[in-house]
Formats: sequence, C-alpha cells, structure tokens
Amino acid sequence: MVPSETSAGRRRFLKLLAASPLLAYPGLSPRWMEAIGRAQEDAVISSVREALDVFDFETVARKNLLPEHWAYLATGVDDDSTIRANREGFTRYQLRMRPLADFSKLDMSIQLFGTKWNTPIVLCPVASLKGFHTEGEKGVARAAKAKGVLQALSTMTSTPVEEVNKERGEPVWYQLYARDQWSETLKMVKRVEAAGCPALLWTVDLLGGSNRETFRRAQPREGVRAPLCKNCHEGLKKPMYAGLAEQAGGEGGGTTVFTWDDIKRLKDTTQMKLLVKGIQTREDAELAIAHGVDGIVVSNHGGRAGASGRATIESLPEIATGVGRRIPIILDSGIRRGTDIFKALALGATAVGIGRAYVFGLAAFGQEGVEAVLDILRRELQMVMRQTGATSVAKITRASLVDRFDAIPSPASSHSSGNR
Amino acid sequence: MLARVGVMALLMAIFPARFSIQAQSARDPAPHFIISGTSTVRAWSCPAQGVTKVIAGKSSQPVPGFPHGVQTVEVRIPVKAIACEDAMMVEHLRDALNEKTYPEIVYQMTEYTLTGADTAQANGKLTITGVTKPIRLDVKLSPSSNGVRSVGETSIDLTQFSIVPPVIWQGLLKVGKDVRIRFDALLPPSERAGGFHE
Ligand SMILES: Cc1cc2nc3c(=O)[nH]c(=O)nc-3n(C[C@H](O)[C@H](O)[C@H](O)COP(=O)(O)O)c2cc1C
Repeated sequence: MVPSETSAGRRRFLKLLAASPLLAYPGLSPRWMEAIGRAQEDAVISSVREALDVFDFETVARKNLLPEHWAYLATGVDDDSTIRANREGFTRYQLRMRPLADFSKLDMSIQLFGTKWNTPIVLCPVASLKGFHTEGEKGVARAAKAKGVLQALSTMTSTPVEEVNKERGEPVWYQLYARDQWSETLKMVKRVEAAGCPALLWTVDLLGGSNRETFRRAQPREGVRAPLCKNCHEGLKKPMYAGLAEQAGGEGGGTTVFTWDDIKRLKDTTQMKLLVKGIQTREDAELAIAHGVDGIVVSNHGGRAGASGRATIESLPEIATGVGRRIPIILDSGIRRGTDIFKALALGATAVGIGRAYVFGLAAFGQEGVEAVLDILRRELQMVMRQTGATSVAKITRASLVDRFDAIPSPASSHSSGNR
Repeated sequence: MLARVGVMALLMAIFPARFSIQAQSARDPAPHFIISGTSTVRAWSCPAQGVTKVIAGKSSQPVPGFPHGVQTVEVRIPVKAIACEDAMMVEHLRDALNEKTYPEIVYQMTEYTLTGADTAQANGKLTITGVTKPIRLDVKLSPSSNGVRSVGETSIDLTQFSIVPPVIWQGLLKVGKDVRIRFDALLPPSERAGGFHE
C-alpha cells in the first residue's frame, strides 16, 4: 500500500511514525520512508487539539519565534549538557506500578503556606514573556487562573506586577533579582508587597554568572542594536525597574556579592514568605533553613545557570533528607512529563515548577497553549498516580520508585575480596 | 434533545449576540473571538466582540426557541472592536483591513447541520474588505450547569480576501498570511433563546 497524501488521518499517522522509534526499523520500504520524510517536515501541529504532549508545542514555538528569541528560550550554558542532564536524570528512577487501587477519587491538589492549588504544578518565573507571544505574562496569568495553578512572576517581566495580578485575579508570587544597591532592592520588594504578592523567590543561581553560548551564537553582531531588534529593545526599561537607579552592570545583572547574611536581612525586612530559588545541595538547603527561609526551589535554572552536569532530580534526595519536611520544596528544571512530576514528588518535592514547557505553549498558541500544556501535564500525572496506586499527592512516596543505581551491585558486594 | 439544545447553543456561539455579551459579562469576561496569527518575530492574538442578528423560520431543523428553525444568522464585527493589546498592532491591523472603507467584518450563516451529540457544522459567507468567501465552521458544545460552552475555530488566508499582511520596519517584520479565528462562549440555557428573535 502506498501512503496517500490525501487523507488527514494518514498524514497524522505518518507524523506519529516520523517521531517514533519505528523509523529505525530496517524493513520500511523507500516509499514509506519518503512519505515519512515529508510528514517530518510537516510535523507541526496547527491547533492545541492536535497536541499529544508538551513536545508538540516546542516544535510550533520554534517555528513561530524569531531565531534570536528561540535561542534565548532554548539556551543552556557551555555546551548545554546540564539541560540534557536534567532530562536524563529522570530516567534514573523507575516506577513501581500498583494499579489495583481505588482511584475513583483521585486528589491532585496541594497546599503551600495554607493555600490550596488544583495541581502540584507551578508556573516558574520566566523573563520577558512578551518576546514569545503578544499575550505575554497576561496570557499566562489568564491560563493560571483558568487552571487554578500558582504563577510566579519574574523580576524581568515585560508586564508590571500590578497588571499581572489583575489579570490573574489574585496576587502572584514574585521572583526577585536583587539590585546592586540594597535600598533599590528594598524599593522593589516594597512595591511587590504593596501589590499584595504573598511570597518572594530570591533567585541565587545566577550570582556566579552564566555562560550562555547557544544564546550568544544566535544573536546578531550588533546585539539588540541590530536594525530589527532595536525597534523593540532600544530604550526599553523593564517595568519592575521603573523608578529604580541604574545598575553598574546594566539591567542584565549586577556586580554585588550576596551571602546568606543578605538572605536573613531580606527575611527580616519583609512580611512575604521568602523562598530561595536555585538550591542544589543539602548544605545550602540546611543553611537556608538556618537563615529563616520559608521554602526552597531546587533548581539549576533549567540548565542555564552553571554547567554542573547534575540533574536537579538527582540533587533532590540529598536535599530532601537535609530539609526533612521542615519547609516546602519546589523542584524545577527539565519537567516535561507527568512521570517527571511524579518522580519529583516521590523524592520529596512538595510541588514542581515548569519553565520552558509552558513557554512552548505560550509561544505556540498564547493563553490557549499554556492551558493545553497544563492540561496535558495534569492528565499525565493523573494517569501515573492511578497506575502506581497513589490516590493523592501525599500518597506519592519513595516506595513507588526504584533507583537504577541501587539495583547495581556495589563493588564491595560483587567482589568480596575487594580492593580495586 | 441534546442535539436540539446543541443547535441553539451553536447559533449563540457562532454569533455572540448583544444578548450573550450581557448574559456573560458577570460570570465570564472572556472575549468572544480571538483572532490570532504569526509574524517573523512572534505569534500574536487580538480579542474582538461582535453583534448578532438571527432570523427565524424556514429551516428543516427546528431549534429550541425557533420552532420553524433558523433562516439565517448574521454577525458583524466592527473592525474598531478588534482590541489588540499593543496600539501599534491595532493601527497596522486597521490599515490592513482598510477600516475606513470597510468598517465591518460580516459573517452570514446560510445552513447548519448537526454532526454529533455535541458537534455541529455551519456553512456561510464571510466578507472582509468587501471580498466575500464561503466559510465552514465546526463547533464543539459542552453543556454545563451554567449553560453551554461553545468552542470553535476556523482559519483563513488573508490574501484570499485581498488583504496584504502587514509588513513593517522596512520589511524586517512580516505578518503571516494565515489567521485563526476562535470563538469561545459560555452561554446560558436555551430558555433565554427568545432574546435572539428579531
Ligand atoms: C527563557 C527563560 C527565562 C528565564 N527567566 C528567569 C527569570 O527571570 N528568573 C528566574 O528566577 N528564573 C528564570 N528562568 C528559570 C525558570 O524559572 C526555571 O527555573 C526553569 O525554566 C526550569 O527549567 P525548565 O525550563 O526545564 O522547566 C528562566 C528560564 C527560561 C527558559
């Protein structure tokens, strides 16, 4: 049978085949291979209804965006290996399936600081969302409202926090990049407090700098002064920097060194809950608690901070041990599937954050795309909860996981005479 | 029965009458239409609202509130009612749609068929910048306690309506020629249908 171009159903099937491991099957005839090749070129969904998973939005986002903007979204650091590590880290943990549970009343809700959320999925702070779609932060806020999920807004937002809160219908959480001058940081904190935001995430993982090569390679030599870019970027001031003094290092990043004392200093100044975003070790998690923080975000900034080569999901067990459930832990970086969310919760996270996943949805279809991404992840998580017999988030435990590395006999046990 | 309710909702959905704007406002401020497309920089969208007129009678398919069916439905979207967030986008859109000469986008439904328990298809004509083309809309209906949520979309090629997609900044930014029109309306149950009669 020759694959025909006329049937939409067949085209869809070919698209799926194009994306599947079957493509490597040596028995496929050249005509099939040719048809699959055509389908591969055309493997871009045109509406949210066609999306099967989060990755379907990534393809559309890439197609929709100016290459420079795409590179900003996609970039990691150095050779992007920490992005890959984040994804591969999830494969370290296997699931122990136990489907004979009564999952007719499955509860996916969580509580953070006394507030209930429909799912454990948090929308991470991502800078400059209007660069990805005209709806920007407001489109994301409408999606968060529609789906009852927590949204965190970046200091580098392209829409002022007050407007985002209005669109969300309640104040969002706010992510802080501290300014060089403490007094300027406090001005921003006061503004956010006045806007009613209940929690502040201080992002610390970029304090040492970040080498974003993929991003830099894609930018024009003149940077944002290039003829196209300057139309939007020239003279642009981030709305949350309005009224604040210029920084010595420019808007992109300050030069001041911050330490745990500053975390304590901020905690003592604000009524908001304070979380530190970018914790990657047990020691820092314990220091965070010792300095009075209310929660932590285990994050490597989606592989765009340091080239640690270490997945956050692999950092989580030591951190969860150190925290001992004293404060909530949100884990992000690399979440693309319901199984990823499940594994993070099983290893001790209270909630998970998604960054690129929802921005793919936004860049592809605006608010509708963000809602669809949230729906897909919720459905996927729901399925794995059923399959493992975990009928509520509290019932997702370490007992549902196997660590592949634990399954490998240690050198001591396999070579009893042992010195190697 | 569901199918009959469905047709009513379909009509209300495709053609968000003044009535539905009022009925919705307290509960669901969502725009009735979202017009969206692409450009060489990023995708865009603009919400819009329209005004509807329904003429009853002479149809083979009866609809609640319209025992003799519906002859035609007309929706008019003033170009001025397309409310992109960015003022520059609004300006370019109005230019592209030649708003001064053609201040309205007009849709006219000529016939409808139920395609399933919660889906229907409407055939009609769409007129933009004075150019009229046939158009088919697929609608999905999901009844709830608040009413019927009616969702659907269609895509059009701007160039088929003799519209030149905006090109700005000396050609550095180009708007794509394919545009999606989506509607999403939460509509009250069909006893309010009388409000639709002319
Ligand atoms: C384009 C982009 C911009 C980001 N901007 C910020 C930011 O302004 N502040 C911040 O704390 N984190 C920022 N992040 C990191 C996210 O909050 C989050 O930690 C990360 O995206 C999670 O990884 P994931 O993208 O694999 O889900 C950004 C991430 C991306 C991809």
